[in-house]
Amino acid sequence: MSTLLSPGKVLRSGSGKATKIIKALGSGGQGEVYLADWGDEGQFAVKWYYPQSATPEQREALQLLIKDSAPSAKFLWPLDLVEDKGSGSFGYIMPVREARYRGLHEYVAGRVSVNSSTLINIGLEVTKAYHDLHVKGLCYRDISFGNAFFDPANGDVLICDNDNVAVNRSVVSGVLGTPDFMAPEIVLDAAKPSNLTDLYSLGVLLFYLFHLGHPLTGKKVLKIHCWDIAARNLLFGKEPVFIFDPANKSNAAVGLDDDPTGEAGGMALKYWNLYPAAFRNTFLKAFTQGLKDADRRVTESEWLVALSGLRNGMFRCSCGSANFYDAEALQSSGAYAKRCWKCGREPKLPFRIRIGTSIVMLNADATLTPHHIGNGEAFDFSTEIAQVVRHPTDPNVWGLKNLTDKKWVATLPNGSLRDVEPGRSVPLATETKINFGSVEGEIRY
Amino acid sequence: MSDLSAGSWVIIGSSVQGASHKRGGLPNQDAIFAHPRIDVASAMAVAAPPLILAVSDGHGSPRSFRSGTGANTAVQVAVERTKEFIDHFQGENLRPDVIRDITQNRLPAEIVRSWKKEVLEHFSKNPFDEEEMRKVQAAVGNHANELKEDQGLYLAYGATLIVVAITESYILCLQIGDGDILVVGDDGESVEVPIPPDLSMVGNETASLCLQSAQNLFRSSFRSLDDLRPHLIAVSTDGYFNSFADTPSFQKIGPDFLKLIRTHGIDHVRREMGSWLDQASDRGSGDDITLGLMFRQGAQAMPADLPTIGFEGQAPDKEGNAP
Repeated sequence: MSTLLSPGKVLRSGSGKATKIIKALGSGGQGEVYLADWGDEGQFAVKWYYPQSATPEQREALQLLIKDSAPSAKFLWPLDLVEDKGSGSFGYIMPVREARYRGLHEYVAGRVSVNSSTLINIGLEVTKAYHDLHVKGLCYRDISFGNAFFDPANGDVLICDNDNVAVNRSVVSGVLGTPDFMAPEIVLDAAKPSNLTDLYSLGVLLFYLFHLGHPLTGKKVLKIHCWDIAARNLLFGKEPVFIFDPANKSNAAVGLDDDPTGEAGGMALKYWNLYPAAFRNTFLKAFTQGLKDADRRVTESEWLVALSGLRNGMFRCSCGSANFYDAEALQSSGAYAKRCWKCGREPKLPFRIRIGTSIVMLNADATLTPHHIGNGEAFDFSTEIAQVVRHPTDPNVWGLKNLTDKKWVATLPNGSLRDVEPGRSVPLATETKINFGSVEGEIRY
Repeated sequence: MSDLSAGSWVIIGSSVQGASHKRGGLPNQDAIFAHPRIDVASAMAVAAPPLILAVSDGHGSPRSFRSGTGANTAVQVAVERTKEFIDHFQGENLRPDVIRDITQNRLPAEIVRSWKKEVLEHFSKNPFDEEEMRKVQAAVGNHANELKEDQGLYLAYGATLIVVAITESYILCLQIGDGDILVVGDDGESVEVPIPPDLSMVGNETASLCLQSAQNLFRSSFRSLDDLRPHLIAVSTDGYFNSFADTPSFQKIGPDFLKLIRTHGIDHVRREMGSWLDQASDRGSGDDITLGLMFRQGAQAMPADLPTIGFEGQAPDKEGNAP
C-alpha cells in the first residue's frame, strides 16, 4: 500500500530539478519507492522515507553519499536529495532497477534457478562489489539477501538500498544489519558496524548462496521451540558454532531424515561435499577463526581466490552434471577419488591446464579470460581470450583457440615450438606448454 | 496497542465439499481451524485479540491421496505454532521489526517442521498400503515411485496453507501455495490484498508444505493494525476464487459479506455460509471451498442480533453453540 506520495506530486530535488512522481514501485522497512521523472534526466526511482526514518542523521548520511560517487556500476547509488517543502520529510533519487534483476532471496527460496557457473559469477560479482565499497573507506552495514539483486541469465549483480552505507565505524544511525546476517559482536551490541562486520555478513551470504542454508543453524535450532531474542542471541551472538566445525559438533548439521525442513543444516549437508576442499576450507576459516575474531575474517580477496578456484575447477561428468575438481581427490595413481554427486560414478576428468598455481578444467565449453592469462587482471572474467574448440574434421581432437590479437608460442610434447597465431588453435595434449605472453600454462590429462 | 484492537472480533468459517468431489465420491480435502476454536461446520467465535485463522487446501491429486489429512494437520499445527509465537512476544515487549523478522523468517520453518513431524507419525502408523499404491500407479504410472523416494512420502499429504493472526497491534499473514486473503478497510469498500498472487508458479502448480525447504516458499505480510485498518478479513482456498469470472468479481465478496453482516447480522451469514459456498462450487469451480471471515465489531452500530457465543477459551461445538 502506498500512502506517502500520490502520482503527479512534484518534489524539489537538491540540484533544483522538479521531480514528478509517476507511480509507486514498492515499500520497505524505511520507506516507499516510486518511479519519477527527474527533470530532463528521464525516469529514475525515488525512495521516500517514512516520517520516523526521515531523521537528520539520515539526511546528513545521504548528503555525504550524494557528494561521493558510486564505488562501481554495480550500485544503485543515491544521486540527489528530494524534498517536499514544509512536509519535513525527504527522499533521494537513484537509478531504476531493471526488470531483469531478481532478488537473491528468490534464488534461495527456489523461485529462480541458475546454473553453477552463473551462481559462481553471482558470488564473484557480489564480493567484488563490496570490495569496491570497502576500498573507498565505506561499509554497507546491512549486507543480506534483501539488498542484492542478480540477472539469472548471466549473474550480473546490482546492490540496492545504499542509503545505509556509511563511513567505516561511524556512529550508528538506525541500521545494524539484518539479524541472521549480523556479526556476533553486533548481535551482542559489543561493536559498531564496520567493514569487518560486513565481511562476516558477506560470508553468511556466500554460504547461503552455495548451501541454501545458514552457517549457524544446525542441531541447536531443533531445541528452540519459539524463537525469541534470547534464542537468537545465543545462536548468533553468545554461542555461535559453525554447522561444519570439525572441532565442535554441538551444532552439527542435521540430515533431512531428522529435520525434514532442512533448516538445521539438512540442505547444507547436501551441498557441502560437492565443493573442493579449498572452497570448504575458506568457509571453515570464516566461521571458526573468523566467527568471534573479527581480524581473522576471510577477506574479499580470499573469497575471490576461493570462488575463482571453484570456477576454474568446474567440469561435467559424462552424465551431464556439473562437478568441481578437487585437487585433494586426485591420487598419485591418476585415479580420482571423488565420485559424481549425481550418478555416483568416478568421473572422467577433462584436459586441464596449470597456469601458475591455478588449475583450469578444459571442458568442451571452457574459456580462459584475462584473469587466467592476462597481464595482472586478477578476477576479470569479463572477456574470453581463449576457448576450447573441437577439431573441424576430427571430433576426437580438441584444441585451445587463440581469441587474442597476439600470437602465443606452444611447446609441443616432442619439444618442438609452434606459433599459435590469433584465430588458430593448439591441440590439447598432455605436457603441451603454452606461452601466452605474460604467463605460461601446461596442459595435463 | 491500536485503538482498533478495542472491542471484539468475530470469526466465522465454513468448508464445503466441492461439487465435482461429490460427483466423484471424493471427500472434502480442505480444512479450517482457528483460535479461538471454530470447527469445520459453520461456526463462530467471538473474542478479543489474539485471533488466528488458518485454512488449507489438500492437493487432491492422485499422488496426494492423503491430502485431506495433510490439510487438517496443517491448520492445526499452524494455529498452535502461531499462538505460541504470539504469546511469547507479548511477554517480551519486542519491537515490531523484530516481531516481523521472527514471524516471517522463523515461524514458517517451525510450522513446516511440526507439519512434517505429524505427517511422519501418521505415515509410521499407516504406511501406504497396496491398494493406495495401485491406484496411484494406475493414475500416474511410474511417477508413483516418487512417493518412495527420500522425503517423497510428504507428497501424499501435500497441502497449501494460509494463516492470518490478529493481535492488539499487528496483523500477520503467512501463505504457502494458492488461496486468497482479502482485507476490507474500515470504509467498508476498499479491498486490499496483503499477499499478492505468486506469479512464479505457472498453470496448476502451487507451492506446498510437502516440498523440500517449504519454509522458504512462504510469502508473508506484517502490518500494523493502524496501517491496515481492517473491518473484515476474508481467507479462502482457491476453489472460491476459481468460482468467479475474474479478480474484481472475486474481490467484491469482501464488501459484500460486510454488507450482509451489517444488514442481516452475523448469525444469519454464519448459518447461510455453507449453502452459499455450495452454490459457488456448483456453479463455479466444482472444487472444495473453504472460507473464513474475521470481522471487527467496531464503533459502528451493529445489528442487535449479534449472538455472543464461544468466548475465548471456550470452544463452541460443531454447530457453533457455546458450551
